[in-house]
Amino acid sequence: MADEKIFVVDRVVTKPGCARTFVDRYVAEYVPGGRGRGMTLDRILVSPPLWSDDEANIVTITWSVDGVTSWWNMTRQGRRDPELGRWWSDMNEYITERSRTMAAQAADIEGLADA
Amino acid sequence: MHNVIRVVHFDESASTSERAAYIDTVRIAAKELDTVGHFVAPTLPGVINGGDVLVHLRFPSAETAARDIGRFDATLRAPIAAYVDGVGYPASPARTRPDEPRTVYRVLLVRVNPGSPTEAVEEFEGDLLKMPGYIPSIVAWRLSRVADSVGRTEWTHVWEQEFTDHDALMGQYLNHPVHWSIVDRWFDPECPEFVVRDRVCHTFCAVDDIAIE
Repeated sequence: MADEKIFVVDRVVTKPGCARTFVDRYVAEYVPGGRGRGMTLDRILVSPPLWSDDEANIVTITWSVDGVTSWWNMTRQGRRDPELGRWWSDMNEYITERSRTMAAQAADIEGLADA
Repeated sequence: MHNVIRVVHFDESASTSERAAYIDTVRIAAKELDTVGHFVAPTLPGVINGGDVLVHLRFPSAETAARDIGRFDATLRAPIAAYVDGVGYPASPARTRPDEPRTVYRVLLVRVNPGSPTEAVEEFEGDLLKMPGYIPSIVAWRLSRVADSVGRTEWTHVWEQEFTDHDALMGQYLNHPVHWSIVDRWFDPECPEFVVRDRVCHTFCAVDDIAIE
């Protein structure tokens, strides 16, 4: 059974001048629910590291989940909550593009594939 | 070849003997059809919205299926059947690992959201077809687009596989990174790729004959 840590990575390109508002709302509105679904917030990175009205920012938010079973538990809880999709739709006013990807440490890849 | 799948959901109050009698009746009805192969089997533990009985009919042509399926569907509509999900589809070419054992047939019925960009639908289909390359317990597979759908959901795709065994379906298939890191994004409302917005039908049963050829 794969108990390796899985990372959930939100990469968000914000519209110029919108990064601080997006991050503030993410922390206040999204993070508590994410923790409630069993994720651990690893970090929120902002590039370039400045709040500017003229620059777009790339906000990279990394969560971790302990193992595949926990990952499925997390995502199943999220799917039962229609507010999550609506929340991301509400964020469109701050966002140019975004992605959500899953990742693992390189040393864990073979263990994960040997499911 | 034109295939038909029916997934029968029993009323919760149906007794064990009623369920067994229903399956016997449907098996007799299936034998009388002009198919090149079929099975009628109870579903196995672990299905999601997967019903109680899985019916798989392989007709030689769409015309034969259209001629016979109405009468067969009438048999399915017995009082203990709360509802039936189903699809008809021209069977796309299948891929197999012919030397491997196959003991479990699994099908996923999905409805891709209408209006999804063609490129996204094709990428979704391509991601599904990547799975067998990473998951060796999938020993036969086929992805088809639905021609006609019955039941509460207008299904668009039929993703069929045969597995070496039930444990592989419940373990390797669910746990492999290709599933949760590549394919699942199409089903996840938090991912921008999200195109499968309706509840899926994930169902499977034991088989002792080839269903995907």
